[in-house]
Amino acid sequence: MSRTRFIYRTLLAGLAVLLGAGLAHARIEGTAHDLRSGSGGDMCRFCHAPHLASGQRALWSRGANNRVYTPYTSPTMRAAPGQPDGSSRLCLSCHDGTIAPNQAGPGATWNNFSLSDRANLSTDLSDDHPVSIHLHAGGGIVRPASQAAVRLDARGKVQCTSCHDAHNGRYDYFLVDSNVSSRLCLYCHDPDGWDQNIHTVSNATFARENPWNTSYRTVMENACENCHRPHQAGRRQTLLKRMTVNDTCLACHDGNFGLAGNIAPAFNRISSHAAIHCDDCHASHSMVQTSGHVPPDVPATLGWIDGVTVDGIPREKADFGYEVCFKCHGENQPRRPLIGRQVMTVAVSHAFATVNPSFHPVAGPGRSQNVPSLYNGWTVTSFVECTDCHGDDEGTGTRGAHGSNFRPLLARNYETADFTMESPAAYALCYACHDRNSILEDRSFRGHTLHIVGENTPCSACHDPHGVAQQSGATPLNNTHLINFDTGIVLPEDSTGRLEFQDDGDLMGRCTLKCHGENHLEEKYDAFTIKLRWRR
Amino acid sequence: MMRKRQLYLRIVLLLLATGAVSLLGGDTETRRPVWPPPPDAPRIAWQETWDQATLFSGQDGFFDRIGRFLFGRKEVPFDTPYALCITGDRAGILDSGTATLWLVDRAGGDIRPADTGRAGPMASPVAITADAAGSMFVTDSGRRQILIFDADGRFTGYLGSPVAWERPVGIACTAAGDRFWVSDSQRHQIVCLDAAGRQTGVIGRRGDGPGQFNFPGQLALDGSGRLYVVDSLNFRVQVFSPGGDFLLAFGSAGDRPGSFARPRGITVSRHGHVYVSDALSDVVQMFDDQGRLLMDFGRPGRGPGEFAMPAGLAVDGDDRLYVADHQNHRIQVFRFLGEQ
Repeated sequence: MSRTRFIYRTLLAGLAVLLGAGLAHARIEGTAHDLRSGSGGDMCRFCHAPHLASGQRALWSRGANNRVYTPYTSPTMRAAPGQPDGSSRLCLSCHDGTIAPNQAGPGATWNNFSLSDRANLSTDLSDDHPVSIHLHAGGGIVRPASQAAVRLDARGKVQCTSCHDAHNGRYDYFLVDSNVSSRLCLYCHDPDGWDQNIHTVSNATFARENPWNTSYRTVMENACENCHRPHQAGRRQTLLKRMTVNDTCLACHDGNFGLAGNIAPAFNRISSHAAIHCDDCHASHSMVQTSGHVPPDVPATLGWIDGVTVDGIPREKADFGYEVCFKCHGENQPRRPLIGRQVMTVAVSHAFATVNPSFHPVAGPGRSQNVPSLYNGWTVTSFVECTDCHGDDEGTGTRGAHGSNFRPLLARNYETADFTMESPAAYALCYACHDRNSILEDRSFRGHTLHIVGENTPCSACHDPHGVAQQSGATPLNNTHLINFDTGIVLPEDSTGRLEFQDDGDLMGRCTLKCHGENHLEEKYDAFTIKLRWRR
Repeated sequence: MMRKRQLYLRIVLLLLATGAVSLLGGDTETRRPVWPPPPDAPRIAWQETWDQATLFSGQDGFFDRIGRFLFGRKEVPFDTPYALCITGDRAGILDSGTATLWLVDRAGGDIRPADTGRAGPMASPVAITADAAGSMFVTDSGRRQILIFDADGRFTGYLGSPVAWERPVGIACTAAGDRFWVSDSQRHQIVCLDAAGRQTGVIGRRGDGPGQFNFPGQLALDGSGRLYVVDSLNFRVQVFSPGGDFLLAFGSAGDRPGSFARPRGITVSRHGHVYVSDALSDVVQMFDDQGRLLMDFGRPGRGPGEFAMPAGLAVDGDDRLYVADHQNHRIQVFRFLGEQ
């Protein structure tokens, strides 16, 4: 490079710096970052310590006289994990509660950026977005484009200056860009399924009180900040705005947005999922509001949620709704049976295995091709979803298994006690799909009326609603039609000690048992005759 | 997978460290850093560090410590100590990250949080002082209040009217507890209170002249009652007589010894030496009572005598200096070796 060109370039660079400084100067003036005590003077020195030619002579230390402190980024200074470095030090040296605020309300602080690498985020004490961290792309994190408003520092680290431009008060909070619809967050964060997400597209606004910390007034505009706060977060690791996931969701889903999505009442019912977390079943970044879906596919309102297959294999993204339930009600999650039965199913998911002699068609089409009682659009090829039976009972705008007044989280009433008087209400759950008229007219099993009306036995005395698991000993001879006796009601036959149903073919079978004091020994029924004989 | 690898790594490290210690004989006594370095006569020696491990390991045995080293620390909420005071055998440490006042019994090694009682949680505690009786006074710049704790660490009330402050920051009191100085950084002034919390005087307004302030911060009193004020954004320390008259100012903005980038903590020893910490320069500077620079010590880092944004300072009667090493999550203790 020629000497003249070098001088030319140096001059040009100097001019650029001066211009930049002048521009910064103009934008700071009058903002909160104009820290001058009067109107005149230098406003840069508050952050950019002037480089003095020499210091005071230190009376006790000759060596000190040559020292230069390194208050700002310096190539020789490397912060250890847990320490803010680079330009963030400048911000935090004032935003510590003395010169500038470090809080927004009791208990909220924002000067404890105690962590500086992703590996440590799980033990982070900070309630703020971490700074001085290297950005690791992948897993929902992307590197912002080089010309993007959000930038990493020269060493590729996220700093306060990634989102805030201390020199420019054009946007609220000195942000580098408007954060409408979380534009800033999305430079680095790219959650799966975000674009169609209800929390990204909804124009809904609150009915009662403002749940947001921003100046935006719709769900769509708040986007990430519907649930997260970059500073003063309630739950530190995930920067949720409240202490728990459920509290965060319920900040809006409590009727504040009208009837739809009002989950709070369901959680107060007798039987509810209030004790688990909303994000056990819902992936809030990818939930899509749809009018319907085709069972057994996973409803889009759950989002891209993980699950466990009917065979007990975990999967990152559930295909079927029941796979979400099997995360807790599946393999290795022994159930607490409410009713003692002949064949005791270990896990709920076992009951729905398609190898079983009978099962409700949740994980596969049902076995029986002759179910005369089905109505309301249900056929032998229909799929049933867990939430058809286990769901909110009051129909107040929410569907799904949030809470119910009927145990165990049933969508309708379902009596299981012996000597229950038959009524539409007593077995409302069953009668939702199985026509009561058909049952009471004995169009399938000829002894239905005799048993449930004549003897006041509940459906559950003979039928095990989930299915009878082959794995637990169910056989095609003894456990078709969901037959699996309630051993608290149905006892072994006195003379033989046997308790057994035997399938003899379509609408035919025989029972050996004792019920309500009466012994049946190989008591046969078929499509025509048994009804009369039993009705003696 | 990651955890497992880390565990193996730590086991190997532990074995190596055991070997190294036995070879070297663990002679740490003679290697305590001193300042200034030779050939100048040493004046300040590094003494010890109080951090999460040393403060909270009182009940732990040897194997507990090995276990903690191998499997990680138990979660103890000692986050970012911002300011501290020494009263008798007790230290009061303000953790601004968790908004907690920790009481450390230096003799018994006991540590426990103060009880804020009916006051509820603090929001942004930034400075603390104590009188000779052991009562502690904490400024909460978030709640805009000054909380009083008795010697047992129980909240007993507020100093001054709860609405008197815009952003109370620094606080200093006489040993008898009959006079308080409080800086209000948002109002750019220093307020003087009597024992009952009644306002008896005000110093200053915004500006850069003598006796004027630009975000005044931490305060300290010397043995004769002179008041030292960190005038943060005027990059200087101002000194006032016990009656509130301006005496002198020293310091300017800069990156060389004797100047300040972000002066934060201040304390005055019984010898009249003024210590000032600098959050951006990661240094503690030492001045005489005329504001002349005596020496400085510290640099960025996390070793002994290295700092990460140091904040509050305190001295005790035994020439020990305590530095709240804010972003290193620890207190460092130094000793003044005398003028020799």
